[in-house]
Amino acid sequence: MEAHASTGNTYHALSPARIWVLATSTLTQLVRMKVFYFLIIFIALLFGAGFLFISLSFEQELKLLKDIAFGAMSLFSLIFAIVGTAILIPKDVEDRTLYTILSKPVPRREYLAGKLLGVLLLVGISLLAMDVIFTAILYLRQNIILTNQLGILDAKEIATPENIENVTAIIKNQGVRWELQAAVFSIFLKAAVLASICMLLSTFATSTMFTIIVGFAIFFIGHGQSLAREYFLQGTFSSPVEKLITVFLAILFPDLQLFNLTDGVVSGEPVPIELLLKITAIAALYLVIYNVVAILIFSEKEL
Amino acid sequence: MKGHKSTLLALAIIVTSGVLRLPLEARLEKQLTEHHFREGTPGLDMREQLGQMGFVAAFGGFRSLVASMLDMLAYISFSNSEWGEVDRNYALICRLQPRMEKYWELASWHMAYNAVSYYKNSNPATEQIRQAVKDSLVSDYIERGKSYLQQGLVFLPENANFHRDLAHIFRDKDPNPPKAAEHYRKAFELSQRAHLERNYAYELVKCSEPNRWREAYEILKRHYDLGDRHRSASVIRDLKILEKRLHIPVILRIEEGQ
Repeated sequence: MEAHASTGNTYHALSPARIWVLATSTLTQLVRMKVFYFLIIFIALLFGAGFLFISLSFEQELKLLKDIAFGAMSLFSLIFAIVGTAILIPKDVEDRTLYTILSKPVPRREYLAGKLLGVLLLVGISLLAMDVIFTAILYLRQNIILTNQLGILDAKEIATPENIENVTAIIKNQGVRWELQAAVFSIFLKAAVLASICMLLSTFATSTMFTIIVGFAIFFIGHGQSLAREYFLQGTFSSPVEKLITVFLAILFPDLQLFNLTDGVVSGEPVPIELLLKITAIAALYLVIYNVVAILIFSEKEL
Repeated sequence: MKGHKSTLLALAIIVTSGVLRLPLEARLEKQLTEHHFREGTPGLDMREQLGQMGFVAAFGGFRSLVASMLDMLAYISFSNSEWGEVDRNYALICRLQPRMEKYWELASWHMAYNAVSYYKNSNPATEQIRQAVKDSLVSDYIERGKSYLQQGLVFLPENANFHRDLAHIFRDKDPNPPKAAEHYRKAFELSQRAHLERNYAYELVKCSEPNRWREAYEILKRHYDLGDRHRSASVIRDLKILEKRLHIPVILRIEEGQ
């Protein structure tokens, strides 16, 4: 779909280039808030987890390192997704940037898409940085543990090929595997869904605080939803009101547990590609739904 | 008016898409369960055991992290010889991550070995406890150790290490050669590790039935015939016992003086 402006230049009703410009400027805006200092905390956490608890068994040590890394990744991406998105529109209104942008031939849908993409870029870059640091520390720790364990087998004179193979397999199963990247990707998908919900909320929210609080509430409801559904199916809920609330929650809110691959990955479960694709498709579906609704509301909003 | 129309349309989209996506989500949930990415629904009692914050964290996507933190608490309790706390923590940990082999193994080891040694061996901290009470505690903790491994087998039925550890308990802590043999056999069948087959044979030697001795003899002789590396002191010791019991002809017996 395209129209011709009076200047003679081609005007696209939906321009990826304009969305990209908005996304990168949003990313710059967020980066200028010095958000990347969180990486210092992340590195400190990982070094603490990786090198302080050496009295635990090597399997416990590696698991703890992964748990803390994934926990921190989930937490930081959650904060970026919710807070990063919640502050964008109110800040643009406050700085009057919103009016400058919308007075140009930029449709509101592109403005929203650009802003959301900017937040997703921030979440993506942060997760990538954390993933690189985490993988490097895990690889380092894994090799130190492997060398130590093989040394112990040698010292005890039980370094048979069978024992070496066994110890190596256990350590490698708890060490760097491609599934860890799949888990990081699932954290990104969850953050993306939350960001799109917060974008929707901020189109009608009256304050940033409202969006942030409701965003966090949705995060917990989204995780409790599958639990409520299970209780519903098991017949734990007996009253019609409880049942109605469960159905209402399931229809209205996203099921965020669907994006939780980290627990299984830490336990050593393999991730089939088909499963990862389906989770990605569900996340894409959520993004489309929430964005369409956000555009609908924002298009009619009086600014 | 137009604004109201948009709001209604937005609500209609959310509700309709919510209804349409429910079966998709249910199917995906089922697949996640099949691939062991769901650890089952926790009972409402877990909320009391974990506390409000722990429960929220565990089901807010930090289940594995909560399990690791409880594991550290269990380690502290173990260092202070607080066996009840160790048990309580591992019961929760194993419910949170039932497919994590190491947790079942650790729980069983703490109960059947560490707690049992604490009450069995001479220890200033337990001097005031009556011997009958100590004996009862020893027996309870051995049972608890076994129980963890048996529960673990429900979630990981193909796990050879659980059978191996159960066999160790039936060999060392609660002597029962037929049961120890049975678990060593299962551990060997699942892992094909040669030493487990030898352990199976050693336990068969302790049994009272001649057909078990015959089976033990065949296994140990097969290992012996593989060469010097496989002729351990235990293999030679048990082969000599079995040769006498089964009246093996002298010509077929292993060399004397080994």
